[in-house]
Amino acid sequence: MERRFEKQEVDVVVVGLGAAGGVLLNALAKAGLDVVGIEAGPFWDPQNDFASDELYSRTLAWNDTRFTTGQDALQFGSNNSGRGVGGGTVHFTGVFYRFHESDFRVRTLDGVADDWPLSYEDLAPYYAKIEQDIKVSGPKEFPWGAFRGPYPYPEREPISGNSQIFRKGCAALGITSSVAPLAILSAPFNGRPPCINRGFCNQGCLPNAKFSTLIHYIPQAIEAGAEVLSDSMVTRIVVNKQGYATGVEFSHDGKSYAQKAKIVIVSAFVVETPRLLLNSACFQFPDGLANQSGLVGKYIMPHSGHDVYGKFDREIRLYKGTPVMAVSQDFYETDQERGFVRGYSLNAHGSRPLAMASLAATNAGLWGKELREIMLEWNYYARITVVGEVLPALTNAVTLSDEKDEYGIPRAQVSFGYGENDRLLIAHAIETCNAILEAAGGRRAFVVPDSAHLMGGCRMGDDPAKSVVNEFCQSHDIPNLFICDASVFVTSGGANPTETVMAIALRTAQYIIGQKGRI
Amino acid sequence: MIKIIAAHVAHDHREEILNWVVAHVDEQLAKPFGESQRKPGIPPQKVLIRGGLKALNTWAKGSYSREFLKLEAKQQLTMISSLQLGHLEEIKDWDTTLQKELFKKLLGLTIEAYYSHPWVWSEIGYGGPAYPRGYVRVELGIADPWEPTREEVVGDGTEI
Repeated sequence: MERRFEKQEVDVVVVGLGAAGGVLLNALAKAGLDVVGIEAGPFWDPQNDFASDELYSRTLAWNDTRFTTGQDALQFGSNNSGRGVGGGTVHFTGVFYRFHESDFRVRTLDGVADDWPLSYEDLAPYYAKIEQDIKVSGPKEFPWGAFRGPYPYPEREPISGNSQIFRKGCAALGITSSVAPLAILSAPFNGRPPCINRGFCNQGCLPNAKFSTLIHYIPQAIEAGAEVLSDSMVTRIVVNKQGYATGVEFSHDGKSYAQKAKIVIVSAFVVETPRLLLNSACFQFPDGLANQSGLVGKYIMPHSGHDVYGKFDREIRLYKGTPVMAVSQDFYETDQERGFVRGYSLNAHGSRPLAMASLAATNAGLWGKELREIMLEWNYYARITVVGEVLPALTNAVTLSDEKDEYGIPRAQVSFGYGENDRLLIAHAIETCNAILEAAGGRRAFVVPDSAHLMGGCRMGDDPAKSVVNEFCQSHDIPNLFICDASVFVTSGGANPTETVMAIALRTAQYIIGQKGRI
Repeated sequence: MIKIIAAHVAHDHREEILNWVVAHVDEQLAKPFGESQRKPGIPPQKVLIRGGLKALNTWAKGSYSREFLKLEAKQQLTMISSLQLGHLEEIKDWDTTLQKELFKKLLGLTIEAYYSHPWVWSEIGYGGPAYPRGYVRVELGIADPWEPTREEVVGDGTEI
């Protein structure tokens, strides 16, 4: 393979070019640093690689086999992880929430989980910068959290039938709803058109109306001098006798290569990041890198993501428009009267045939005549999806299994089960969704248990005994090894995580730049 | 055998669509890359499905003295329903968990292919991910001219 920095020690190598990796690569390259981004999957070309075929679009996901276990074993693949330049942003829904102030102080406020080592105020400028950078569309006034708008681009108009139903049901019950803040254009920007409501956000956006790091940050990073090595799987982080990272080894087309770097940043997602750190165990660090606390891979959290369907006498047409166009965060904060702590967001959520039928089949056990009859009338269903906070638990963890993959790396094994608070929260959220659907004139239909997103596994904190990285994503054990993706989350929040991942990545990049080579 | 199981699971007997489903399953079993997730102790999907089909056939012969494909449709359906619950106790080496996983795998592969077939899209009233024209009229009660209609579209969306 052709490489510009083959013989050279670059300033920074970034492992994984998803939401965090794209932001990091761009910010570091623009600051004049020599950076190389290494991505396991392909460098997508939307016009040639994305298709109007829901089945084919699954190739955008990380489909390598992972072992899944525990009481509520998680699903991977298209459910949460991307593969290829852009990572998960290539197939995320584009819902772009900031976390709330309370999310960073859960221990102080609710006596559970832990506080983050940074506050909402620490992240606020980075949230704002990201929103401006990519022209997030959203309402003039957002009803919840510390940021009340306006968003850089106007809110989407019109909204889909499913979102209208959601807002109608909310209004009837006195629940506040809003048009969703979205990383999807409502007006032209940077040669990209506004959304045409094709509805294929999760399947790869063909017109490039939806933001991804693939089409926004990474091309800019390359222009600023960054090198991207795609189809290259990093197999190991190399550490010298002094205990510093010296670079990475990776595999491309069956051959092994190495890239030396002054700083290594791992941004490979909640499963692959701990897997790489654990697989990089060496003489000085027999339990894996950055793992003196023993917490690498621990405290992973999905969002509970149950889909609640209501049936109506009129056509809703779930497939039309951006999947999520209306939301509510009225149930986001702790309310002691509910009998559990923390809360959830509700997203009016469209669907496509494969996604709806597959989940109804595999997660709700529907098939044969029953499923066929539902699907023949699928245009009469409306759907609300829960994004519920899940509290961290030590037993929910990524570990290495005994089986190896084609690179010789042990496959990840992921164990997950909901806790009591999580279950109470889910039950409450489902009831709220049903009430909204009924208030909008529908009937309760069925609920598909589901999860979404994944966070934690290398959480941040001030105490090296209780966390893996500090507030700047720098590992406590190896000063020139950074871990920067959703794995550093201390709590999950009750909102889609991508904007927070990106804000943290930008803050980390600023920190590294500010150190001016001292790391 | 996959074809017949798919016919029951998808509740459709049209040859062309079932062939599409079978082709998808074949492709998945032939491909070198992963299956996203697997439970510990469960064999890779290729082994699971090939072994599973053989085991089902053995069970059919043991219980009905006939091969699975020679059974009446009703008997096949009963067997598949039992498989979903892991209740086919007579199959050697195929415990409840393995039976359930086999069912789930066959179900998942069938449904994802079936609901990707253009005929099925049209039947359920899915207009597809229209491109490059997209959808202009997304609100309730109105439809773009290139969308399928189940019946005459009524209303103009203002009654919401």
